[in-house]
Amino acid sequence: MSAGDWCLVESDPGVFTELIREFGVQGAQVEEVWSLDEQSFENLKPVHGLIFLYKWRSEEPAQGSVVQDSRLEDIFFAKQVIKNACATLAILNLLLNTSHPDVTLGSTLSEFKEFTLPLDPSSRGLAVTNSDHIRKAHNSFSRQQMFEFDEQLAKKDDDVFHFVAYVEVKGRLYELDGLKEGPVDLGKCDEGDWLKTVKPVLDQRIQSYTAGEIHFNLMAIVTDRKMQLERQITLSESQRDMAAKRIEALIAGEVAMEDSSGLPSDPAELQTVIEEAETQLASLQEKMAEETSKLERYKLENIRRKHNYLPLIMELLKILARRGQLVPLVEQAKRKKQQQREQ
Amino acid sequence: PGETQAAESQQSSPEDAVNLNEVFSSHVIRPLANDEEVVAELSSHLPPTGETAEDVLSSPQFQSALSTFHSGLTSGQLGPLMSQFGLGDGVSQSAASGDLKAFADALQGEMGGGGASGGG
Repeated sequence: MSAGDWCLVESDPGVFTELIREFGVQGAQVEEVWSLDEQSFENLKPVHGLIFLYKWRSEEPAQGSVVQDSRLEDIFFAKQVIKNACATLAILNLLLNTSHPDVTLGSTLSEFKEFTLPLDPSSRGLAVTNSDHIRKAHNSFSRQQMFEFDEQLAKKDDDVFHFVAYVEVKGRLYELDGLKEGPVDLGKCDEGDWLKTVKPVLDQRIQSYTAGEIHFNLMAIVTDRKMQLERQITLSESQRDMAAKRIEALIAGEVAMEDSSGLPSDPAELQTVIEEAETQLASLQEKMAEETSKLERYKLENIRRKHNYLPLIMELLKILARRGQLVPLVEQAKRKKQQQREQ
Repeated sequence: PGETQAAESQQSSPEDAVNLNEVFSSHVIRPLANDEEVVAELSSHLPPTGETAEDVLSSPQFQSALSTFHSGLTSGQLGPLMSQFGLGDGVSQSAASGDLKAFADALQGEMGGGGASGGG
């Protein structure tokens, strides 16, 4: 496989989550965004950036303006110089602009960022292809590992899918599209709540697709859910334990000392605090269990994805052929199709 | 979903072109995946997930692989691959023709399952 051959990567949160972990990133994961309403964004927060996948068209409605000033020094933007690398490029363009304390880039991406920061966007794009670590991780999710064949010959429709990233940098919203000349400035946004600024931009973009043509998909890079849940669990536990200690102290007749915890000094009220913390903990534990089983499902699906099914398919075809069932099955499928067409 | 009319074989008319995903529908997969003999022969080729053959064969990942295989076959590019699986020239040539029905006929002939059926 030459350095220029990059595979297409499936747009799936399990794939993207494993991909960023293989890049060495910690404290982040990828979630699919099903709806742009406030509540679904609320459940994902903190969101470090969004990745939008869509069927590429030559004429896209223009939104915003391409940045050409000194802000280019603050924004990491790499251009896409090779085919099919856009998933990784969108992820890098997003992650290398993140300064959130939850996210640790790891040595590969930190070194990559440092090395490419003085370069222009095209050279940065080229540097992506020269990183063995990044390329290997990307290619491990190849859909076409089964055999090498020219997909252009096999596919008549030339559907091209493209990924772009949306990030907030220093209080402004940017679209980072590796096929454009630079970052696209989409205006001022609230650093703490940039999602409300991105919503109308995405709404407009999605509406430009003809009805019924659902060729787009939105993913969010968020804080590692288990890490976040663990923090919330620790917080609720300490709240509960402090309230319990305070009740004990009150019963023992100790004079309430200077109190910085903000807890009430009435035993009944403290009991309520404990009960609320317990309820909170139960719900957090439940979410934690859901997250664990989701990650297990991702792992299973990724093993399936990386498996080479060619020997299995050939064996299956051979078994059916030996039993004399293959030709009848093909004919049966044909008849069924004809019947459906005639209905 | 709704419009995937592309990637048809050039040889056969669109009306009678079926793809392997349609051949391996759930009605076909279920009895196969519960046939002990079949399961025994397939077991070494299943992904290392500990799932049953039925789970694997009905998974979206297998169906996607089947679709890729079908695209490769109907584009006539799988001819050279057949010898790697111990199959003869007849199967290679039929695979190179890019016609699923011809490929099925040749494979069944070689595997001793009754060969090319005349009329159909």
